[in-house]
Amino acid sequence: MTNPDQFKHVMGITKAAKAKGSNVKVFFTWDATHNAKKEAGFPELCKIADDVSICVDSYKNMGYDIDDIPEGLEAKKMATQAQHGIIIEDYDCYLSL
Amino acid sequence: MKILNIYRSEPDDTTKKLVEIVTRDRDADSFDLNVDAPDYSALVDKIFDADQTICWW
Repeated sequence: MTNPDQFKHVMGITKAAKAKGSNVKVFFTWDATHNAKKEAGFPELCKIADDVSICVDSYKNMGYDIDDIPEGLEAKKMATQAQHGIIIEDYDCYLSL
Repeated sequence: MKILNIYRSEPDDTTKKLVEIVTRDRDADSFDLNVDAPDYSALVDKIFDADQTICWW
Protein backbone atom coordinates (compact mmCIF):
# COMPACT_ATOMS: atom_id res chain seq x y z
CA MET A 1 0.00 0.00 0.00
CA THR A 2 1.44 3.33 -1.08
CA ASN A 3 -1.68 5.42 -1.64
CA PRO A 4 -3.62 6.86 1.31
CA ASP A 5 -7.02 6.64 -0.37
CA GLN A 6 -7.22 2.92 -1.14
CA PHE A 7 -7.94 1.58 2.34
CA LYS A 8 -11.49 0.48 1.58
CA HIS A 9 -10.15 -1.68 -1.23
CA VAL A 10 -7.54 -3.23 1.04
CA MET A 11 -10.26 -4.14 3.50
CA GLY A 12 -12.51 -5.50 0.79
CA ILE A 13 -9.81 -7.57 -0.87
CA THR A 14 -8.48 -8.85 2.45
CA LYS A 15 -11.94 -9.98 3.59
CA ALA A 16 -12.62 -11.64 0.23
CA ALA A 17 -9.25 -13.40 0.18
CA LYS A 18 -9.61 -14.63 3.76
CA ALA A 19 -13.10 -15.93 2.95
CA LYS A 20 -11.46 -18.05 0.24
CA GLY A 21 -8.90 -19.43 2.69
CA SER A 22 -5.93 -17.36 1.56
CA ASN A 23 -3.19 -15.91 3.71
CA VAL A 24 -2.98 -12.15 3.43
CA LYS A 25 -0.09 -9.93 4.34
CA VAL A 26 -0.40 -6.14 4.05
CA PHE A 27 2.45 -3.66 4.10
CA PHE A 28 1.87 0.10 4.30
CA THR A 29 4.50 2.46 3.05
CA TRP A 30 4.94 6.19 2.36
CA ASP A 31 1.61 8.12 2.19
CA ALA A 32 -0.35 4.97 3.00
CA THR A 33 1.07 4.97 6.53
CA HIS A 34 -1.53 7.69 7.25
CA ASN A 35 -4.05 4.83 7.15
CA ALA A 36 -2.54 3.38 10.31
CA LYS A 37 -3.52 6.48 12.28
CA LYS A 38 -6.50 7.90 10.40
CA GLU A 39 -8.52 4.91 9.23
CA ALA A 40 -10.98 3.69 11.85
CA GLY A 41 -10.88 0.24 10.30
CA PHE A 42 -7.14 -0.19 10.64
CA PRO A 43 -7.27 -2.17 13.92
CA GLU A 44 -9.88 -4.45 12.34
CA LEU A 45 -7.62 -5.01 9.34
CA CYS A 46 -4.85 -6.03 11.73
CA LYS A 47 -7.17 -8.69 13.15
CA ILE A 48 -8.45 -9.95 9.81
CA ALA A 49 -5.18 -10.15 7.89
CA ASP A 50 -2.53 -12.71 8.74
CA ASP A 51 0.09 -10.01 8.99
CA VAL A 52 0.05 -6.22 8.85
CA SER A 53 3.15 -4.07 9.07
CA ILE A 54 4.17 -0.55 8.16
CA CYS A 55 7.38 1.10 7.03
CA VAL A 56 8.56 2.91 10.13
CA ASP A 57 10.74 5.33 8.13
CA SER A 58 7.74 6.31 6.03
CA TYR A 59 5.65 6.71 9.17
CA LYS A 60 8.26 9.07 10.59
CA ASN A 61 8.48 10.99 7.32
CA MET A 62 4.71 11.46 7.36
CA GLY A 63 5.15 13.31 10.66
CA TYR A 64 4.38 10.63 13.22
CA ASP A 65 6.34 9.71 16.32
CA ILE A 66 7.71 6.21 15.83
CA ASP A 67 6.95 5.50 19.50
CA ASP A 68 3.27 6.24 18.81
CA ILE A 69 2.38 2.74 17.67
CA PRO A 70 -0.95 2.62 15.81
CA GLU A 71 -3.77 0.68 17.44
CA GLY A 72 -3.71 -2.90 16.28
CA LEU A 73 0.01 -3.06 15.62
CA GLU A 74 2.80 -4.43 17.77
CA ALA A 75 6.11 -2.59 17.96
CA LYS A 76 7.83 -5.31 15.90
CA LYS A 77 5.41 -4.57 13.05
CA MET A 78 6.88 -1.09 12.74
CA ALA A 79 9.21 -2.49 10.15
CA THR A 80 11.41 -1.84 7.14
CA GLN A 81 11.15 -2.41 3.42
CA ALA A 82 12.47 -5.90 4.10
CA GLN A 83 8.87 -6.79 4.98
CA HIS A 84 7.91 -5.60 1.52
CA GLY A 85 10.54 -7.88 0.02
CA ILE A 86 9.29 -10.84 2.03
CA ILE A 87 5.82 -10.43 0.54
CA ILE A 88 7.23 -10.43 -2.97
CA GLU A 89 9.42 -13.46 -2.24
CA ASP A 90 7.06 -15.60 -0.20
CA TYR A 91 3.57 -14.97 -1.52
CA ASP A 92 2.00 -16.26 -4.73
CA CYS A 93 0.20 -13.04 -5.53
CA TYR A 94 1.25 -9.43 -5.05
CA LEU A 95 -1.00 -6.41 -5.38
CA SER A 96 0.10 -2.80 -5.17
CA LEU A 97 -2.49 -0.16 -4.32
CA MET B 1 0.72 -15.62 -19.87
CA LYS B 2 -2.42 -13.94 -18.58
CA ILE B 3 -2.33 -10.37 -17.33
CA LEU B 4 -4.92 -8.79 -15.10
CA ASN B 5 -5.24 -5.02 -15.40
CA ILE B 6 -6.81 -3.37 -12.38
CA TYR B 7 -7.99 0.20 -12.86
CA ARG B 8 -8.16 2.50 -9.85
CA SER B 9 -9.55 5.28 -12.02
CA GLU B 10 -10.94 5.65 -15.51
CA PRO B 11 -8.03 4.81 -17.83
CA ASP B 12 -6.82 7.77 -19.86
CA ASP B 13 -5.22 7.57 -23.29
CA THR B 14 -1.76 6.96 -21.80
CA THR B 15 -2.99 4.10 -19.66
CA LYS B 16 -4.89 2.60 -22.57
CA LYS B 17 -1.77 2.75 -24.73
CA LEU B 18 0.40 1.15 -22.04
CA VAL B 19 -2.17 -1.58 -21.47
CA GLU B 20 -2.23 -2.23 -25.20
CA ILE B 21 1.56 -2.59 -25.21
CA VAL B 22 1.90 -4.86 -22.18
CA THR B 23 -0.98 -7.11 -23.17
CA ARG B 24 0.00 -7.48 -26.81
CA ASP B 25 -0.01 -11.16 -27.83
CA ARG B 26 -1.10 -12.16 -24.31
CA ASP B 27 -4.34 -13.11 -22.66
CA ALA B 28 -5.71 -10.22 -20.67
CA ASP B 29 -8.45 -9.52 -18.20
CA SER B 30 -9.47 -6.37 -16.37
CA PHE B 31 -11.18 -5.20 -13.22
CA ASP B 32 -12.49 -1.73 -12.40
CA LEU B 33 -12.00 -0.68 -8.79
CA ASN B 34 -13.42 2.74 -9.56
CA VAL B 35 -17.03 1.77 -8.94
CA ASP B 36 -19.29 2.21 -5.93
CA ALA B 37 -19.22 -1.40 -4.78
CA PRO B 38 -16.46 -3.50 -6.34
CA ASP B 39 -17.00 -7.25 -6.29
CA TYR B 40 -13.90 -8.06 -4.26
CA SER B 41 -14.60 -11.78 -4.34
CA ALA B 42 -14.55 -11.71 -8.13
CA LEU B 43 -11.38 -9.64 -8.03
CA VAL B 44 -9.61 -12.20 -5.84
CA ASP B 45 -10.65 -14.94 -8.26
CA LYS B 46 -9.24 -12.93 -11.15
CA ILE B 47 -5.99 -12.32 -9.28
CA PHE B 48 -5.51 -16.05 -8.71
CA ASP B 49 -6.43 -16.78 -12.30
CA ALA B 50 -3.81 -14.37 -13.66
CA ASP B 51 -0.08 -14.87 -14.00
CA GLN B 52 0.61 -11.18 -13.52
CA THR B 53 -1.40 -8.31 -12.10
CA ILE B 54 -0.92 -4.64 -12.85
CA CYS B 55 -2.62 -1.92 -10.80
CA TRP B 56 -3.00 1.18 -12.88
CA TRP B 57 -3.46 4.61 -11.33
